Amino acid sequence: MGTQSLEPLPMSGPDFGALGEEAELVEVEPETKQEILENKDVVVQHVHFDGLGRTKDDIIMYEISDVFKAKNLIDVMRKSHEAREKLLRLGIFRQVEVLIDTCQGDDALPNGLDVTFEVTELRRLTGSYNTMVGNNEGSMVLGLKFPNLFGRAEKVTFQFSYGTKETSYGLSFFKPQPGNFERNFSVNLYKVTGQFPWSSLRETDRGISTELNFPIWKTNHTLKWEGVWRELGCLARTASFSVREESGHSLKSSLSHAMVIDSRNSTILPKRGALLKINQELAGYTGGDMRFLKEDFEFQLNKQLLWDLVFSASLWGGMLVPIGDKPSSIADRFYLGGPTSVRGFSMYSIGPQNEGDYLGGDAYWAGGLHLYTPLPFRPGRGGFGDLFRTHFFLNAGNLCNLNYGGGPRAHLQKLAEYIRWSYGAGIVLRLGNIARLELNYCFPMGVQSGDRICDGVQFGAGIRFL
Amino acid sequence: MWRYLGERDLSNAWSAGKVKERIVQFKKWVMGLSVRTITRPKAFQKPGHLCLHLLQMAFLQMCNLPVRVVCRANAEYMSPSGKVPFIHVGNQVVSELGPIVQFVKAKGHSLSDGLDEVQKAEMKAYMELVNNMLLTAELYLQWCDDVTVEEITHPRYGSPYPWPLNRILAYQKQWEIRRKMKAIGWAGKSLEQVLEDVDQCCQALSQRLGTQPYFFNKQPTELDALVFGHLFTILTTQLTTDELSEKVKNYGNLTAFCRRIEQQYFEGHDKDNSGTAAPRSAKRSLLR
Repeated sequence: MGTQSLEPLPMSGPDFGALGEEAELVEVEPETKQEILENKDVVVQHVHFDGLGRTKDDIIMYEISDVFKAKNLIDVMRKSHEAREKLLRLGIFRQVEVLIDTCQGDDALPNGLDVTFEVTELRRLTGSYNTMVGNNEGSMVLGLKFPNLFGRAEKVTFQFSYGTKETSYGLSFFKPQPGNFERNFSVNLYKVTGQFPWSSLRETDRGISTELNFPIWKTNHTLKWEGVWRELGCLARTASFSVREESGHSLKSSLSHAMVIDSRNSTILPKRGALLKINQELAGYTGGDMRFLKEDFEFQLNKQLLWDLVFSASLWGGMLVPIGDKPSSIADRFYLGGPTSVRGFSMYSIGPQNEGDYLGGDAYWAGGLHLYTPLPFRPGRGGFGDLFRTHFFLNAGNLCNLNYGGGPRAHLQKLAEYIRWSYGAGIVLRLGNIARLELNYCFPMGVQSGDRICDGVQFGAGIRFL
Repeated sequence: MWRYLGERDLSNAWSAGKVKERIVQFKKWVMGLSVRTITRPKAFQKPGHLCLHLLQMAFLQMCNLPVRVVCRANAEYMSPSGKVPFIHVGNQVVSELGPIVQFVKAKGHSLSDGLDEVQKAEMKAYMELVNNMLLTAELYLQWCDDVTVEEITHPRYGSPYPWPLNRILAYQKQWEIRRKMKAIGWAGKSLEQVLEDVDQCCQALSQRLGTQPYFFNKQPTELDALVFGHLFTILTTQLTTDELSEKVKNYGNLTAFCRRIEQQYFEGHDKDNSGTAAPRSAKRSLLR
């Protein structure tokens, strides 16, 4: 039997497809006697590691324990490939290569195999420079990373980001549980300044947060405690008095929990699957002077219809309930409108406002129906053209405050009247697996006095779209 | 006009909420101006804030303008220039005495119309003296005198905020004031020197006032409001030592002046106001 060597395969995103289908044999030496390799029983006797430096043994053991359980050759190859993926996911190796060979030596069994992982560890300090796209903003990010700090995939990152809307820097420490990478823990320190021209507001947050992530069955949960010193100010002397009243310092200490179930095949322009995100935040019981309970959810459903048509429906909603007699702060409220939310309206320009400054609302809902089709006449098919889609949409939403003294029934009624909605069509461009650009022609309807609209052509870039 | 004041009780200050309205009704409002003056709650105010608030109140009352006072803990940050108190009239926000005087003048009210050019220049000179001497001395005493800082200023300044924000903001303000002191050369001064300066300033004012009821003619001017604000605060604010107020009390005509203005412009209105719900404990008086 010759030496089989698996070429390093590119890291796959959710688009990639099931593992077994993609693993390919690179070369097979012609055998004089044809043996059907799948049926041949093998035993993995040794697994070697070449190139380990500061990485500790126990974390490696967890990742490769499955390789020993393989029963036949194809299984060995598959399990080795999976182990390789797991090792790369730890973020401590630059390269992992797998070599499978017959066992040599005194204790070698006739059907024994040796699997060798040749790894190259990442340097102790790496720097990076990226550009980032958020919702209608872009930024330049410089990073310094210390991967695998103590040998068990801990990571310390320092990041500085300078963007069109905000400047921030942060230090974070990340530690996964050995053997269970999805269970991890991180501590972040950050300072973020943001400018929000739709509210004439400037916000500086200095905070510390600790986060625990863990999966339960098919869902991913995050528990977080966050303490933020928030400083609000006016962006211009012409800011309205309502925004002026919110200026000053406050301290928010909150506990939050988020749950995500994601069965989509891609984050951007999925073809099938659903997403459900539920997030709740309770502030005030661990210190600070902000006290509220905040709930919000996001739901998306995608279905592929005949030919290449994809139908997508999404629903967002949220509610902020201040506890005690202090009203909610402008920095915690929800905002609606814009190319990433209800299209056809200007960025966050729906709902309560004062002299042109939008103040956000305590409760909102927004929904969208989309139909994605490939470009007409399919130019550039199989290549560049596949990144584009045409899209027809119908968006609707509403935003309101809850502080007028009514009960739940009154709130629902308020959210149901004066609905803003819009429809239109446009082109979507997919950027890698992270972001998308849209150019739409919109017809906003149900516009109330005070809303700012953007009818006609609207451009949007972001990662999270309604 | 709205003004922001607060309760006196420090211990309850945090839980009692920071917004207190005290509607001070005045005789009749002349112009249909509805003005709000906004300052920090009294309990959280350092004497500097209180004096500015008082002098503004005095000025506005002398102009016979209706004022409504509102308290906010974040008044300092609401103000466009960072100084309290400030007034909110219709859509406009004006802070600091100088701009407020200009603003009120533009609306047709002025206290110094009756003065000639020489007197106006003299008035400006005295106002500068008070600002440079008395105001800086007050700031020095609050923020550079360690005993006062520890016992009075830090707790007062940080009381609207939860821990650790109260310490952080108080220290931040302290560094800012100390930097300013260094810039104007007061950082090297000792407490005795500062008190000497205050004494000299009071002497100058006392000499100018003489036996007249007000500094110029028989009518109050901006200078009267300014001097009243500062002196009244010095006389009534409790600090760790009484030295500062003793310096002022040395000059009988100044204390009489303060009492007179208090009686004329503040006492009468508080009597009209006896029906409000705001606690009377917040009021201080020289007449006790």
